[in-house]
Amino acid sequence: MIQILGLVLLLGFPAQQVAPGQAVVPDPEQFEATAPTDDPELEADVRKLARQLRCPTCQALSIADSPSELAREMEGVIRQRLQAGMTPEEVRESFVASYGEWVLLSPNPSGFNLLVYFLPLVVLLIGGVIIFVGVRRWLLNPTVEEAAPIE
Amino acid sequence: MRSVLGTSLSVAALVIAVVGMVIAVLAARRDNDRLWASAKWGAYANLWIMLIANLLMVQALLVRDFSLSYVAQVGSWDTPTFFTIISLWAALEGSLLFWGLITAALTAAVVWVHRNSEGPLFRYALATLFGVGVFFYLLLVIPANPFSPVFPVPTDGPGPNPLLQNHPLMAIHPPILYVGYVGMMVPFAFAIGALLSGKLDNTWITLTRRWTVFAWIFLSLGVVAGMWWSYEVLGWGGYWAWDPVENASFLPWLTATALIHSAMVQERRGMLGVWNLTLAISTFLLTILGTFMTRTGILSSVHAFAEGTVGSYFLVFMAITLVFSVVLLLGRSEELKTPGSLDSVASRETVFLFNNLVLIAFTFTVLLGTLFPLLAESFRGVTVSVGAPFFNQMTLPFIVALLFLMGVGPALPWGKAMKDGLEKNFIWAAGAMVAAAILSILLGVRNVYAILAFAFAAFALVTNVREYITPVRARMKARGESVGTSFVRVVFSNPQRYGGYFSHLGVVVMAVGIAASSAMQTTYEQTLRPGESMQAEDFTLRFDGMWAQDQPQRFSVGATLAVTKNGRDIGTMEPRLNYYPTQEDPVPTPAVRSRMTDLYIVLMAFQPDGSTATIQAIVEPLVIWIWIGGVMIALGATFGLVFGIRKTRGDRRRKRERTPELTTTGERS
Amino acid sequence: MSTKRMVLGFLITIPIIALLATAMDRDPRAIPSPLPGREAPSFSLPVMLTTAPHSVTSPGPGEAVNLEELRGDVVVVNFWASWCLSCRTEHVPLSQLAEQYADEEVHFFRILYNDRAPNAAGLIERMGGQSYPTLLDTRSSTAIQYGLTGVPETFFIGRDGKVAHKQVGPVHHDLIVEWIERLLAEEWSPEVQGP
Repeated sequence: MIQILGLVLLLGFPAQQVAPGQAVVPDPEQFEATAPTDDPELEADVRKLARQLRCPTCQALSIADSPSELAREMEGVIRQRLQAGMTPEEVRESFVASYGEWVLLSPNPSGFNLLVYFLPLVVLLIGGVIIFVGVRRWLLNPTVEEAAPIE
Repeated sequence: MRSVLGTSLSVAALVIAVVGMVIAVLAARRDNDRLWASAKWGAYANLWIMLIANLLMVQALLVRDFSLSYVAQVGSWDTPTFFTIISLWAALEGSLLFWGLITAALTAAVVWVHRNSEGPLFRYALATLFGVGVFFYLLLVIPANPFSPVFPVPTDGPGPNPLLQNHPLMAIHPPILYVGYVGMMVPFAFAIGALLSGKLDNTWITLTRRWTVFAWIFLSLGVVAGMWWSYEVLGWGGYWAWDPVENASFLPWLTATALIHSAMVQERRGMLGVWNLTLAISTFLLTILGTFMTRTGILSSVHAFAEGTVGSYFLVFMAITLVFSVVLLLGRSEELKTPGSLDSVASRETVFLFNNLVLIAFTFTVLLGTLFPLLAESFRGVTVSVGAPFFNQMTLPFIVALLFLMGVGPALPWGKAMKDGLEKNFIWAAGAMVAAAILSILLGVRNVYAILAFAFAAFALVTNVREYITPVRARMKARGESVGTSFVRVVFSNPQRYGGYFSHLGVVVMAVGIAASSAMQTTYEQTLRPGESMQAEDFTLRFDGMWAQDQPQRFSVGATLAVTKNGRDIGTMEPRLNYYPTQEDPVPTPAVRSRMTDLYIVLMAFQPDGSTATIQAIVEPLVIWIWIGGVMIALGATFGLVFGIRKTRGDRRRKRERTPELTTTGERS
Repeated sequence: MSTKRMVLGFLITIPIIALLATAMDRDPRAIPSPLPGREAPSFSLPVMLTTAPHSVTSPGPGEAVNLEELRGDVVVVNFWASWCLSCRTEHVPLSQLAEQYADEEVHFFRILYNDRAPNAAGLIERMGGQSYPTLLDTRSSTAIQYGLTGVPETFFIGRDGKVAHKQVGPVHHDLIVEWIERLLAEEWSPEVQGP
């Protein structure tokens, strides 16, 4: 919904047009600042981090995947912080500090969260044991007879 | 007027369902045929009632009768007619009304198809179907009545959710998915019928196998259509975000797939009875859980409807169903104990056991991940997210394992495996597997799971294709027929079996599409001024300018890009951002060019004066294979279903006409 | 059927239902903020616009506001945008109270989120001015530090520089007064608690 009115007006007018106003600081150069750089290593790190962080306005998508404005800005902040010398781990933590654990798309594998990583393995193991025991027992039963033909 | 009429229709459906349920139970217990006949009429009556109620709502939407709460909620004068009609399922109440129609239609269909069936099992099954109906009609009468009046009557409404009016796929995705969801109540009803009547042999599974496949086809198509919608509308270049509602549609698909396979083991060897009952019940419960999650929005999702009081109704219904089924199952477990038997470890039966194990562990993982935020909140008091990175990491091994089993299964015979035959079966497949792995590494794939997926896909491809080649060759030799004729004869001799293998091939194609598009996709993002170009692999995108368009229901801003591939002009592409008055964030419409390699362009941002546009271009190979694979899966199963039914009828007719000895005894799978 | 089986059946089913029941009064869109109780992220942002009389406590256009320099005072930070409809309902109470508390150790700031300065300026003018400054947050970096999930959101920062409360959605008169009074009443001395 941003600036729809402004859009209608401005798309038809010269680029310099600014609404009349007193004491207004001109628009920040938003898009230049957050735009990707030419450094492929940095960009790979940005992308990797952005994939792990959840976009607050779209709920199910990561920052990397969301076209929403806030997600774009957050990607910009990741880039900025990496450029400022923070490690990817520190950047991750800085987002957790602002948004809580909620912002991580895979829960931190520690404490209670370990359940979500290990319970599936437990189920797989139990199932495997059941099949193993069952198959061994069933192999002792010779074929009774073919069940009645289907249909 | 419409309000009174519509509400009375829902009440009528509810009353008939309650009475029908009671009568069907009495008919089963007292073996009373007259009661039974009236119960059947109840099923037909409800179909008509629900049909009229739905048509009434569509008409109200079309004439913009804002005195109905639902129309006031999703209608608007500005919405085009097409989207007005499909806004029948754009919000909670309307979608439940439509759901009620599908429930009534399937109940009537079951009654009609099995109109000559006798015995208490079927009567209890119909009672169960009515019971499910009671729940949905109750929702329509009390907490989610789409026909409830509003006063004062508004002169206009907000129109449907912007996401839902952005693509024509919304016209087919929900109905298909609903049929799949609702269809899973049929195997459940027969399972409950079997448990209540004590007729615990293979009858229920034989009666419902085709219903399960029918619902499974729709569920598969619904899931794939959802992926496609996601790809075309959400604008992030992906098709599966492991969103709670996507998971909700995937969970019953997994257990239904397990059921379709293990039902074959029960039909052949009379074992796994309890297990199949459990699968049928779980599948149904997962569909209800899915509806619960979508319709109450307990887990946030792009697809979730606004929450209401409906949630507690769902909870109570789920609780009743869960407790009832578990108690019933445990109560019968002594009678259900049948001695299983196996002739060899290397048999198709064993592969099916493992297929079930993997599918169930898969289901459990997705279910746990989806509900884990609730668990963490209850036990830790902290809100966590479980999203795509988690699910991808945890489920890829399952997907690879399923591909492997899908390759092994068809190559192994039922019962005993013959040693020498086996080696021959596998040597080609193993060769293809190694070749695919080497080839993908040479092509620059570095992701281990992608390499494994390609390798096992090749393996499964060869073993499944061999299942066609071997019998066709044998037939050509024995009868001297041409390739075409003998292929057709072989395929029609056992439609279920060969349809099933075709579905397997669909899974292979889809798996390759998923692996390739996710492992080999590259994203390019650049901010362009008019006249500037960006490069994305072989594609060159020249930004020619911005445009804006004012439509009644929305305001769109687009970028015009002239696209060339290796210098050859391939036209203009125009990604858009759509601004809806009711939505804060813009809804993107990506521009997609689907060929062997997709070019997916999203307008990410722009300067309001049109001086720059930030363009994201995603180059994704083989996305189209996913849609093709999805269609193949459904086609294979549909072929098996349709021609299987015709063949059964034909066999039955021949049986009646000729002497019994001459009936066909073709091998089945 | 044996009682043992019945009990087993309930043991399996009840936890599942209970878990889902806990979800019923959960608002999936509410993302609990980790900020309350913690140090408020510092910011130094330029004033975009103010119609308040220029004084030490209310900086003029173009001057920077530095949160750390306000340690010892109560700070109310409100994030808003001109396209946000529910932000408009906050305008009157915020502006009124900022004037009312002008002589006390309380500072009000609005931070513009995801918006163009001219649009915001135009709206403020149409709504009859604003008695406290609106700050410009280039690239939403302050908003992201504050874990913003949308607008309006309001943060009440105590004398100790810690976030005391985060309000998601519009604030109203009584709520603002309640928090300001509570935070003003808190004891604080720079010597003991450090910078």
